[in-house]
Amino acid sequence: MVPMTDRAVARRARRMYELGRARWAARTLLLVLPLLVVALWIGRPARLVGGLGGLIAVAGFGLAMLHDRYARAVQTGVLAGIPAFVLPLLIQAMHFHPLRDGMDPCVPASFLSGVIAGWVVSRRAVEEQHQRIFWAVAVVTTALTGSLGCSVAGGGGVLGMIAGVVAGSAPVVLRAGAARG
Amino acid sequence: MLALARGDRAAFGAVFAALWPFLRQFCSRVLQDDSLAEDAAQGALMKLFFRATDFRPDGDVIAWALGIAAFECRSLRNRRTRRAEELGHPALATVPVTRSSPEDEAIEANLGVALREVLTSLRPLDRETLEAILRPGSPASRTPLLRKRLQRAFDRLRVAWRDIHGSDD
Repeated sequence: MVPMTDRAVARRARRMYELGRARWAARTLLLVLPLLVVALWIGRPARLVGGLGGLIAVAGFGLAMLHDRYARAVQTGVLAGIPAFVLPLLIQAMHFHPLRDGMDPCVPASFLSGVIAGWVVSRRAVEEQHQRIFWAVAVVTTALTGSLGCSVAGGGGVLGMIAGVVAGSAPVVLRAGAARG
Repeated sequence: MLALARGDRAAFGAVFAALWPFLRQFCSRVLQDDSLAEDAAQGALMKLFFRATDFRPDGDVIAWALGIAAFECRSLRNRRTRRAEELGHPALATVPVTRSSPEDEAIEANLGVALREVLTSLRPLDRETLEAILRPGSPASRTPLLRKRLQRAFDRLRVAWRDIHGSDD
């Protein structure tokens, strides 16, 4: 090995650190990529999966590279978004009849799964030191993940899911705010 | 270290400043060889930073760093030993001899002095004949007369060498 100055060693060490961090951040993809494969396998449009899935994968990897708390937020968001991804698809596969007012049953399913996701994400966020940023990252990830399934009911499904996330988060966020005084 | 493991880049400078001299010192003490110690310390430092994200909150940084450095020192030493073994006798036998060793040069110089001593004891005609043939750029063709003189000169030289040094080897 060629003798190096301390500054050169530090630069090389920094590069190694970033490489190690990238290796660690790539674990996020182990969670995201199988989900995208499943989405394609069950017949979700390739463009939707490519667009939303690519966004989740790239953002997840990039955020995990930045800091552990973002990695945890992305992980929580993806896991919390799985019910929102699955439930509307199950409802559609079971061929439920439209509701009395003609509403697609997938829309309330999206809302309900959004409530669950919002509650899970908020409960997890209050345990964190940087709650707001954790919550924001997790909610966006949940919304993206959930949209892969909720979009089966069109824009209404996605909006219903987002409304559900907000509704599910609200009680926990309000209670945490009240506890802080 | 814990902050760095979590992704706080601001902690990099402090961790580097603490670990680099420490690893160098440790490797230097273990290996007793400055260049090898530098290599081992650099290798250990790079591995340490590459795996920094794996560091656990309940871990001991010093023990962790020493573990990696000790492994690196052992690996380097083993690698050097293996290389030395691989470059053993067969390889040494193929090393081209391009120049004589200091020992050979000393022997050659002594022989030169001894030869000059013996030459001074010879007759002038024998000495001139030998010097003419040993001089660089001596004539390639040797006449019968020259060959005869040369043979006589060599015989007398051998006798003179044996008289002075006891052996003509």
